[in-house]
Amino acid sequence: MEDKQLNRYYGCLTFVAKQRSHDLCGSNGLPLTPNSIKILGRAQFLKTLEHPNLFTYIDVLRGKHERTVIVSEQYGTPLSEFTFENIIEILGLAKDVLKALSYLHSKDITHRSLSKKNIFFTNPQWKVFNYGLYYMTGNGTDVLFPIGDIKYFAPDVILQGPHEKTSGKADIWSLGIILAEILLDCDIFSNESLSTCIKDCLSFIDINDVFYDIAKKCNKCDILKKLPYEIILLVNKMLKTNPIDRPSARELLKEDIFALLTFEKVNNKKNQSSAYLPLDRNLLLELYHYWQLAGGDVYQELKKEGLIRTKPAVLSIPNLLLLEGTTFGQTVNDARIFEEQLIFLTINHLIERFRKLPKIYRYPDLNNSFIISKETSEMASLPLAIKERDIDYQFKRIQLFKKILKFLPSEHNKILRESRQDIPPFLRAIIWSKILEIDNDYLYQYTCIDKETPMPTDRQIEVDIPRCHQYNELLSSSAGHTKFKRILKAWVKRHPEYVYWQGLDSLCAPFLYLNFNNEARAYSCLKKFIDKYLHNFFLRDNSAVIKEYLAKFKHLIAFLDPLLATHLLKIGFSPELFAIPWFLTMFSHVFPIQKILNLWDSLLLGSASYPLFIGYSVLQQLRSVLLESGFNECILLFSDLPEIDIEKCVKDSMLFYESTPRSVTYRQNEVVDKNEKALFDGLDPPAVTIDIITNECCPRISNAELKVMVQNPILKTKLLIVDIRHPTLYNESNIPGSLNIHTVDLKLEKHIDNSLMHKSELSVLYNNKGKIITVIGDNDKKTSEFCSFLLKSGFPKVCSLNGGFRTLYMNGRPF
Amino acid sequence: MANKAGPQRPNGTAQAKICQFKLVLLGESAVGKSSLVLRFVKGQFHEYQESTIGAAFLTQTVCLDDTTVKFEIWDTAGQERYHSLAPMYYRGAQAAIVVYDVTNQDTFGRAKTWVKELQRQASPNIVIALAGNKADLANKRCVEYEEAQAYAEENGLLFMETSAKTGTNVNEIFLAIAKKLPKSETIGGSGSGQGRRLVESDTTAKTSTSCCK
Ligand SMILES: Nc1nc2c(ncn2[C@@H]2O[C@H](COP(=O)(O)OP(=O)(O)OP(=O)(O)O)[C@@H](O)[C@H]2O)c(=O)[nH]1
Ligand SMILES: [Mg+2]
Repeated sequence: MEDKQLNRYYGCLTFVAKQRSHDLCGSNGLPLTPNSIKILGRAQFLKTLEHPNLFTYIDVLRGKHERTVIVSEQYGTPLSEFTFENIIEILGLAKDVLKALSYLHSKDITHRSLSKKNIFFTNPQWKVFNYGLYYMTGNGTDVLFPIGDIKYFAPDVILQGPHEKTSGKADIWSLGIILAEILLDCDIFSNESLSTCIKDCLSFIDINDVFYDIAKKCNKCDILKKLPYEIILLVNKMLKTNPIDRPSARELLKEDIFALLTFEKVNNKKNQSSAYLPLDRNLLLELYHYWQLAGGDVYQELKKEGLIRTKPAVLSIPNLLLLEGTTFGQTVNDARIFEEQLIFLTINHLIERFRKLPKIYRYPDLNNSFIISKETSEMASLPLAIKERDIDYQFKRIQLFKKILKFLPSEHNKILRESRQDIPPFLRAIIWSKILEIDNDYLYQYTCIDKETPMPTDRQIEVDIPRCHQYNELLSSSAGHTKFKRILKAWVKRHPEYVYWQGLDSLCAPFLYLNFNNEARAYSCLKKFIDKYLHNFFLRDNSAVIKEYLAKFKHLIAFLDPLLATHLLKIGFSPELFAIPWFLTMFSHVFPIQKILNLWDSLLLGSASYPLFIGYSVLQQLRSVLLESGFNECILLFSDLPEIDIEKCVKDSMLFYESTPRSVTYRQNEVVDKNEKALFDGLDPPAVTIDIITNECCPRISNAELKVMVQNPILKTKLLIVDIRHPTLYNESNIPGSLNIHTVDLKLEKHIDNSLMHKSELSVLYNNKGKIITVIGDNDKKTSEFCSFLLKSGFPKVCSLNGGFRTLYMNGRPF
Repeated sequence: MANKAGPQRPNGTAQAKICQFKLVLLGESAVGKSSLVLRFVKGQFHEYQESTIGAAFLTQTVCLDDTTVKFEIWDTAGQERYHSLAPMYYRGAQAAIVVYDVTNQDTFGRAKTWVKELQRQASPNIVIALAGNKADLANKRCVEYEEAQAYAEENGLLFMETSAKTGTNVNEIFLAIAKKLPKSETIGGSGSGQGRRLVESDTTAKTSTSCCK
């Protein structure tokens, strides 16, 4: 394909929405959504449309001062500059446009501004452009300028009020006029004033043969007479003044005359060589993504072309202002005009750039992907902010992931492995859904759920949504609110065992943001996410679940950072005071969307306990302040959390996670992987209750996991077993290499100081500081006291053997 | 933030009294509790104020004649389900603001339930104020001023209609509470004596050292 044709794959349009006066507000005191945000929300739907006779919408942006910018696929020759060679070609145009209209009308979208400027020949087919303006502006109510060209307006459009929605039938009329113009080779209503235009159009009412009337007006009766009868009939059908008599696009496509085309089509393509290569929607979006990564800035392009003029504010002040409010001398408000001028974005440079990349990146071979991994691994260690903006890196990653996605589910492990490196933002939505393993029939499942019937939690959902991540344009749009509510209601409906807790909205936000055009997928991701990470959190009475979670969080702090744990304990600063929103929403109530995305990129890859480590890493970033502060300062710190470095948080939390035995963070309310179950044997009630967990300050390690550690030569070196039973018992039987410290000699309410240092056992302890210290006793209370003693003395990684010494013998010989 | 630095000390004058009080905000979700606190503490109003999960803590200091009153404010979550957490926050509180939304009758009913619970469960000497918030939305009003005032009088509550949005009566209601709070040694002690766990260790420590020297 030639570069010239690639040159014009995207076109931009811009307009300004109607400004809203500022002090207007809706119920609940919330301000009304700005029109440009409403437009942005609605326009998202347009991006999902895909049809061979429509230009695909690529992006909709919201600029300053209520400006909207639309980026659309766009190339080819406009109808206004096209010359037809025969009637068959004209019929081809009619058929293509009808196909486009039929599709749009089936989606309840009226084009409303169909004209010769909005239809393009993209060899071999015709494509319709700018069909979403009327839809996205709420049928024109959000903008001041009129939508559409009056000369193509059907009489019913002129007669209807400005706030009525124009039906699809109006587009059929417009097409009729366009066809009449082409067939008669004339410009109807050219050079006529607006009022004559309207008068003329209305004069068609009560006329049966509008086509003939037009020909008469334009002095083209001679041409009309030469046209085939079927053609005249077709155009006249489109120009029925009563919309009820006017057939729909679907009906018209069934006309016999179009059957003719199938025979004639061949041989009729204009200079084949210049045919355009059609790109599918995903490719168009991907290319646009690269265009942006390469520094493309739509606003800059628009400014260059003079479509966005920055005007000093002083110039918009009127020259004269009468006391009753009339102003004079003001220049025309931008919002009153719609500039049809299009500008084009060039992508040649991108194509060139990618062509130069080695073939392996363009067509990755999964069996050989280590080459790619090796190549990109240099980049992989760079900061995320750099990687996400590097066009070559993103290109390589996207190609690789696309390939892996194609081979799912068999390549599931690969997607997990590659995601650990990083997830390209362009594919994040789909990758997340694969990591979460949403069901294949998710769409059907979602469709089956009743999302409309009112229920008691509606009020809470309705007051929460307008407070949830509203700085985000999509989530604050009306379309966003509607989807938001449907997803939340669906979740509540689908989970009768659970209830809506404030915070569920925050959890939903990242999924909705990513899957704005795929509500069902957003819902399914949310569902899977909660199933895994927040099992039982949404029970009507979730106090035990939260209690356990926070107790384990305390244990983890004690295990990894005894100094901090002791300090927090001393000042009475407990996680109940700050960590409930952290875990209940998996930090989605704590951080802005962008940060949540990066955090969850890695959270999703971790086990159900992994979020505890994220919480711990967040604390670590505040550590020095916390250690110096009293209760009030600490709590204030959390009411207004300082900037947290998410990337560091992710990295740290993974290190902590890897160096902590799994059973240390085991929760009874956790959904455990089948093959891990044995590891947690004995950590459940009745042996261990939530009250026991809450009362102990150090975690327990399971018998099974200790066994694994003792038997593993490497892990064993990182372990010190302290046996606190009576020396007589110890001498009878013990774990080889364990240290016996009899607690009676120690004053446990104190911590280790000089008076105790002379004890040789204690110096062994000190020499092994930093190892995992597992305390084994024969009495839970004493064991717990000794753990607490070690904790206060500053020993990290202290845990007790669950069940004490006797569990070692439960299944025969120990180890 | 301005008040993060902690309590503002009066300028070196040794005579000034400093009193510290724990105050809790209660009321149905979305009536504007967080907004009232934000207005009082930072003088701001966020249209898209985030909902509260669990509770939030803030402090603010006001001057009253020769006394500096420092409020330790617990802003709680309004959703009924979070109710079980509430005692943790109002235990040991010397003052409470029960908030309802003047445009929503149900929230007034809920406020009454909170008042009852406080009268039963909180410290006996707790000062309770009733705030009819969103008073700026006059054309949407559902709860009449007189109705609420009569109820407040019957129950010995301070009462004001407020607007976190415009700031009307926000400082006033906190000041009125500050005035009504006894500034002698005995009170703080008995109030916070009931506090247990979590907050208790804090309040007892504070009241013994700083309440009204
Ligand atoms: N018009 C008006 N709106 C208000 C006022 N106070 C709060 N709002 C709005 O009401 C909504 C709820 O306010 P919040 O402060 O979040 O309510 P809350 O009581 O803290 O709610 P929860 O945290 O859910 O318990 C927000 O959107 C505020 O912008 C007010 O005085 N006037
Ligand atoms: Mg709140």
